[in-house]
Amino acid sequence: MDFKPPAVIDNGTGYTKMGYAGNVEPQYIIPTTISLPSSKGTSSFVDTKRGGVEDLDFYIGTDCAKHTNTHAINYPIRHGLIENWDNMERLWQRCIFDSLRCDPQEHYMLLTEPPLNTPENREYTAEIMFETFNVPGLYIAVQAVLALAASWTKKSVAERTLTGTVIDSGDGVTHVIPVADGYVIGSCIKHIPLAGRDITNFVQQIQRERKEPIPAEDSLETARRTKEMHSYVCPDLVKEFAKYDSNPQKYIRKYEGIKKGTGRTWVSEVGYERFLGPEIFFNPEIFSSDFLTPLPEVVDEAILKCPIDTRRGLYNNIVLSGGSTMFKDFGRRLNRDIKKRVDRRMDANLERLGALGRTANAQPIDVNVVSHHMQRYAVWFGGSMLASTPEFYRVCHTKAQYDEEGPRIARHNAVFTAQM
Amino acid sequence: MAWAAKQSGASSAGSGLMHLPTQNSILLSSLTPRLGPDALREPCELKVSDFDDVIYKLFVPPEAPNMITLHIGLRDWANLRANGGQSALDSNFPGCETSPDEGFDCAIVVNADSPPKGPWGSTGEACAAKMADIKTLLVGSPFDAAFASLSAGSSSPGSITVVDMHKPTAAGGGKCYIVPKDDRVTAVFAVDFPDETDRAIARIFLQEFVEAQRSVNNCPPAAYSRGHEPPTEVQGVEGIAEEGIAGFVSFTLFGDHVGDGKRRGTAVGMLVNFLTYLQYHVKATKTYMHMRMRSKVNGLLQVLSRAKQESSEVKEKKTFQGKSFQRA
Amino acid sequence: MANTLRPYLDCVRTTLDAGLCIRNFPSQTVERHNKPEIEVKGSKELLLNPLTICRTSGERTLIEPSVNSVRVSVAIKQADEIEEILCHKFTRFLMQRSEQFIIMRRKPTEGYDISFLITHVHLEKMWKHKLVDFVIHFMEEIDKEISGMKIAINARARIVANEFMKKF
Repeated sequence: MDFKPPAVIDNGTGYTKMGYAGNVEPQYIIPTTISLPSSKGTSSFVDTKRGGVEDLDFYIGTDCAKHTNTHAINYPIRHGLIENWDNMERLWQRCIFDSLRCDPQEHYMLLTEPPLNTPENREYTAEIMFETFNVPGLYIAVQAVLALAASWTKKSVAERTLTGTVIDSGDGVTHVIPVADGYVIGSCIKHIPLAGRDITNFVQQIQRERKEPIPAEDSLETARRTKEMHSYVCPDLVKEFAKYDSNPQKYIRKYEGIKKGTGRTWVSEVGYERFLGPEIFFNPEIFSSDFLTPLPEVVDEAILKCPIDTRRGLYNNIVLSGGSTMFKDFGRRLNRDIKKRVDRRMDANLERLGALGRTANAQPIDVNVVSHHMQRYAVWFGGSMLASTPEFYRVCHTKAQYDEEGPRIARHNAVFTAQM
Repeated sequence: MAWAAKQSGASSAGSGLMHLPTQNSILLSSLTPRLGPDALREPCELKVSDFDDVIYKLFVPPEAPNMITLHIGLRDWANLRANGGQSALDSNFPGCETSPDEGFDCAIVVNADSPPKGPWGSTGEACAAKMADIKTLLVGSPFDAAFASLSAGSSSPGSITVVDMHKPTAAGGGKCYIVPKDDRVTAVFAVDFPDETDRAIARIFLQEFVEAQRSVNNCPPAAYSRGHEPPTEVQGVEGIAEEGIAGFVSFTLFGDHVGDGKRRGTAVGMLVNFLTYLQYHVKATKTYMHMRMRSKVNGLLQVLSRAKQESSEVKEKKTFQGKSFQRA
Repeated sequence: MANTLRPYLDCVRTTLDAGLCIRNFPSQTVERHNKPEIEVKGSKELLLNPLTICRTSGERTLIEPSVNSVRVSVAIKQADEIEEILCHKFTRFLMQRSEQFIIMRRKPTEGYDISFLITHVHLEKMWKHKLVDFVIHFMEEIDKEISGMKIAINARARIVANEFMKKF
């Protein structure tokens, strides 16, 4: 029996996605948290009988919330990078044994890392995986590259490349990451301090200002659900307002909720915030006062910083990843706006050349934003897809290699394009 | 959704996770909404794995979202089947067996609209729980059969059943030998780990199982012997005297350990999960060692940094002309 | 601390104190290079007499002085299989982090478990007596830690076994 699916664990700052390769969805999505016994809490662990296994007294993920009076919550990952290795190792221990129930000696492991992860972190990861868990093979993939691979579902085999710009927007932060042939162009990565959480806050703010009859304790939850269920990206802000004003019945929706304490139902209206929420990516000035560059401009700037021979490929394959890119027509609007900027620049250049009395034929630049079904867990899905190809086993670092050379083998992970 | 947030497997609050649950929580969280009161009718295709080389494929076709098929792949199914696996399947899931997909050994199909009834109950949730625990049912069937005949007083001494759980190393290990006697059943586990460290830790653990019987009342007596000296119960079994495995540990269960159905079920579950339990704790011990070593490294680094001379001595000095220079 | 350990560590301390008498000495063979002579062993007259301090056959320290560097290698007591493995694990873990430990070698010298290489550069940046303190502290701690871990593993094994047996 040689069907031993590799385990794919994508540890993000907010959430950990894990499951077996070959599936379309991760089997678990849990908060990347670990709660340890708080010294002041009356943990029943103080009893001496158990002395020696205190380190097993912890909870991870969703279980953390249930034990807040005895345990304090910790976040082992900050800004995508692992900060507390003790807690991370224990988190993995629980993930492997309790959640995935895989014998780590039998399953290859695919882990992910943010762009610009340090080689030392990779060594420490390899040390844990090989020495503690004795995994037979390990591959540490860059999240952005996996997101690119995840977009292959939309394309023909010939179009599958590992060159493209990844727009990864989760809850906390949005990254624009150019990737050429599977290598992240580290110097050209851009960060945008606007992401899912900010949209929620903005929606909440609008609802509050309009004095919607939403109970205060449900306010944030209502805003989040409004964002997830009703929001979309509009092509033109002014026209959209006009549309709503001329025909309110058609566009303004109702939101029903149940008040927690009393059980009474309440109804509120969902209006302009449907399109205003995601609009903060395109017109950040409506929400933020310190970050004012619209997303299309950031993407354009990031690509322009990249080596000239990669730029066409980067424009041609702009891939979305993460929950905050899931809004309807997000890709279409982004595509249009970037295309507009690129065309305008090209026309201006041609004009300038014309004024100098020279002519040039410019080949138009294709701008192509790729939306696909796997966007929300794109990174995990890309990992699941790549890990189920035979190529994966070729690029993995094996236990034998580790025993031979030590943790430094994990400093470099070969890029691979799988033939599928 | 299939990946619904998992419930904790921890046995009691505050005790941490000593025991791993026997149920597969991925299967449980996919099956419960379909078989329970939520009556979720969504297609699904899920391939997951479990300890001891068990693999599952859960398949719900889009055209018939009430038909849930669970394909199971196990080690040495032919042997299990002959030693109680088939009857366990028949009595727990009557009429549910179907032909497995390629690569799998057996399969059951359950209609979510009318879940089957078995000795475990008749509700859909109970059915989901039993299906998620099917590894214990199938791998445990030879144990269960041996205990059943022990309770009934119809043990057949002399016939040793081998349960091949997994194969950790080329030297062997990962097997359990069930030795029935007139008044007892001895389960001998051959334990091994591919890694030297794991093996050494496992040896310490195995010895402690023997010690534990003194401090725990009414537990089955345990014995430990090193890898090259198999215990007398299994001497002479083919391929037993393999050199260099971590060791043998045997638990001897008497009639009252498996007296009622509940105790028997627990005993089967414990024995089926013994190797996993050991593996989990060996790995957890190494995590603990890593934690200690990390804190020690930090402590030592602090001592070393005390040896560093203060860099404040490198003060900026001016020459006569007013140019500044640093003394190296 | 055991009383027999004290003289051993005192001896190491005194020897190190005397041995750490080193100075800047550029390479005689390669221009503008400065190599630790104890590693290069290019010229006999630059090396001093190495010294082994033994407590038992398993526990010993080798101090190899030279004109610009001193190499200290420690063999750690390993009484049984588990101590051997713990020692190996721990030294490996430490040497993996030798970058941070500045004076630690990435590999031990033949026949020893862990080695330090102290060069004149280190002595110029660090207090000599504190550096010696560190080496002594290290030797103390590593012994203590290994036996501590061994006890912890045994205690853990007992709990794990008890918990299992209780369930029947």
